[in-house]
Amino acid sequence: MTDSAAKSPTIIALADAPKERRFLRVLQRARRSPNIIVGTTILSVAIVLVVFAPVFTGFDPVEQFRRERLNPPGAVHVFGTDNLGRDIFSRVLYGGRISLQVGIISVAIASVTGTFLGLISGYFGRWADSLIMRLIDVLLAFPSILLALAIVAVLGRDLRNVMLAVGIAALPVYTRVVRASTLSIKQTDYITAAQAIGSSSWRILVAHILPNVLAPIIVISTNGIASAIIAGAALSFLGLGQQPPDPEWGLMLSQGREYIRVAWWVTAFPGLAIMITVLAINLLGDGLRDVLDPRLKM
Amino acid sequence: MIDPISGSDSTSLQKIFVGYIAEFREDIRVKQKTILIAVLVTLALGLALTPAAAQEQTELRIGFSFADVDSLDPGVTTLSGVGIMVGHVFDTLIYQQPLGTYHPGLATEWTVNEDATEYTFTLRDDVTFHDGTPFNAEAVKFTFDRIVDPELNSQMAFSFLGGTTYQETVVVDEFTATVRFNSPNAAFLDSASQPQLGIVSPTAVEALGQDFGIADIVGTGPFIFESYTPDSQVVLVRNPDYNWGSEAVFGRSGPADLERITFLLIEEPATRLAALESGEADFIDDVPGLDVARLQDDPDFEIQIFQQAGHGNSLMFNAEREPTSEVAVRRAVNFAIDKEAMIDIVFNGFGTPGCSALTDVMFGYDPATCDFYSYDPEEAGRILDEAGWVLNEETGIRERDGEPLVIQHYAPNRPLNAAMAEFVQEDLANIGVEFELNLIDFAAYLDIVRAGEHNTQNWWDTQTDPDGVMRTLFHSSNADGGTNRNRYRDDEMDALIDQALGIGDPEERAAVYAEIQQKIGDEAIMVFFNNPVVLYASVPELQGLTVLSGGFQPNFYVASFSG
Repeated sequence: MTDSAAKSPTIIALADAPKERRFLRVLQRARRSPNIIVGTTILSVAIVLVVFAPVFTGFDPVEQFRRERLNPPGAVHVFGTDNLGRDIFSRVLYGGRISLQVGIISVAIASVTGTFLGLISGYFGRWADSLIMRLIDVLLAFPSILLALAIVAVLGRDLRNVMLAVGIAALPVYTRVVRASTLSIKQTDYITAAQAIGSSSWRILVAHILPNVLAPIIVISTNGIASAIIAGAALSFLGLGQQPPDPEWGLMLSQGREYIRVAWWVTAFPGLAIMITVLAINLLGDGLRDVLDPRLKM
Repeated sequence: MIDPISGSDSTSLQKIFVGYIAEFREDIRVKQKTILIAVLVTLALGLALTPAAAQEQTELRIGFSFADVDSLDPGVTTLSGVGIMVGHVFDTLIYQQPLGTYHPGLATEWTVNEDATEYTFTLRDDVTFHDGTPFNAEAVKFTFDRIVDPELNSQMAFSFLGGTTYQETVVVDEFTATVRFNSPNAAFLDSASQPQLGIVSPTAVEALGQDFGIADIVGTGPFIFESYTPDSQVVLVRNPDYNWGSEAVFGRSGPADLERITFLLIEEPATRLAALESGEADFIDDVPGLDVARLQDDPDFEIQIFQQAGHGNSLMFNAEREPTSEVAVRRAVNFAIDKEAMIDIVFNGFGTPGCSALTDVMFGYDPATCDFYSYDPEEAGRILDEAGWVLNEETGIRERDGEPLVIQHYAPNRPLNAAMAEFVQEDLANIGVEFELNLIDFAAYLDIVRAGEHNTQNWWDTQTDPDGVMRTLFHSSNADGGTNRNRYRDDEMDALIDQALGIGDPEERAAVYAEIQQKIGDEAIMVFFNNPVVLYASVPELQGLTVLSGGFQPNFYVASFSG
């Protein structure tokens, strides 16, 4: 298996199959994957809880019930209250909006930009490739959290900047994967055929190459959302993301850490929320990888 | 080898038998050796693992909350925490304990002239700096003249030295120095007892230049500076030649019992507490209030509580920036904050609600200040209505000429700052004021507040004379990016502060401070949250803690571990 084209049987198989059949087959495999079923279920529940937060909780996440500070989980405040007497359940739900938003938007930034750069770099080669790849090398030289910290420090503390920072920090992975796939697809017969009948470069990129690099991008993006949520939470924990009093999971962890010895629930629930969400997304991501890449499927 | 069982002739059997015995003996010898080694190893391990039981512990490890270090130079630092650490490296001319009572330090005697403009100190003649430089009147002059040198940009020590009222230090003879002020300075004895005015080695300062306070510091104290690792630790080692301790304060004068003091810089309260409980630290300051009860019940730890002198936690208003430049807004905020609840929630039930810039244990504190502002959100609302700030029912925020009433609050991102800020935010939201939080890193915070780009920031300070507190916070000489980040400038206030400094009679002096506190209340220059307590926790074996400066400055010169 040294031939680069032979390295991607999926791509060829998927490209050969008619679109509907391809989709059905993926769906069929997905229904048999426990990872996908569990991941999707948990994630759906989380999204419903977070999006329809006001339906599930009657408490304002920033309202301080000062006589009820640090109450343990109970009938009224199901997850208990924090040091200022705020309802932790509603803070976890509302905080999830921000965390999920950070995860999805920053991955969108990273995957769209990364795919674009990767396609150009891989297809056109030469100086475009050198330029883009050196840029990516520079980004790769920094640990991603450090890079994100630096970007937020320069642009200012703001949720939008956090998303941008996390997105930029995740950029290299997408670019490199797409570039690699593009390089191998570029040498396949159907691309040569497309070039022979005079298709424009852009048409080839968008109509022929892009659909074939989507599978790995979907897998990386899904898992990327999980790491972006963690990165966003880490930045908030460090005081560079969401500003109080609005809840965010990382910020809640940061603020509750002082009380961890006397009130475990202040940090335990946002911590669990991060863990469960990230786990669900990772399960889904792994499941998708199995489904979209038959080589790994026994 | 021959199998003994199948051996045929007797001689060979005998040989084999003898061989066996020999082998057996050898075996025993080896075993004995092994056992001996095992015993020794166990003993050695036991000794290594239980040094406290086997020999006296001579290293003190302190979990220290003041993790920020701007400079270890006592003349340069603006941080009270640095004063605590370097108070072991530098001696002061005199010591103060309790508040208002002075004892000999590097000076054996002192006299003050009638109008408090001249202080003459008779110095010890047997003192040498850690670098071998002899201590004398020249060193005192060098230290004080250096603090007023504009190039040093001293703030805290400069304030202690009376700011611009400092005139000169005259070397009368080798061991007599006279400090002169161009206007009366009644607070100077208190100042002379502060570590910020500790006497520095002139030779070391000249040799190190800008590096003094960063690479090294050289004083005459019971401990010698060994190393400073930023964000990690400050290590001091015993000064074996120390023989000039203040007997009146410490009960002895010779070298310390402790060989080494390590200040572990641990800003996180939970981490600091964990360091104590896991045995990584023997003493911690600023014990998290919520954990005090638990530690009090635990025989493995001891808690000490002191009322803090100086200035509690507070909110500074930038008087040069809209909307906090408006007295009505500042008054409204003063009425809107529920300090009783704040004590319970933010300060975990410790301390009492604050009334004045001076905490209630301070000389000059006026209890009448507690009548100025009660918790009265309706009154706050009324004041704002009157000033034209009308509530926009839709946003819940007051507006005037289309401008919403927004206060930009800046603070370093730390748990206590966040808790205070969020508490205030909620109370202000109740009266229709938006209190926008900017909890950022320390360096960025300093840049912003020193440039005066904030509306509000927090203050906390510990001092022992009212002049220090008032001058730091309200004197216009500190208003340009210095410590008066109220940016409050008022000629009358300056005059009152300077006047109080010059009054020798305590009663008359207190009357002027009452006037100052009245003025602070009238103009609502700040909000005073609390009269805090100081909470220390240690292992019970640690003995001999000395507490200077009205409870705030723990000193470990005569500390030791009892078996």
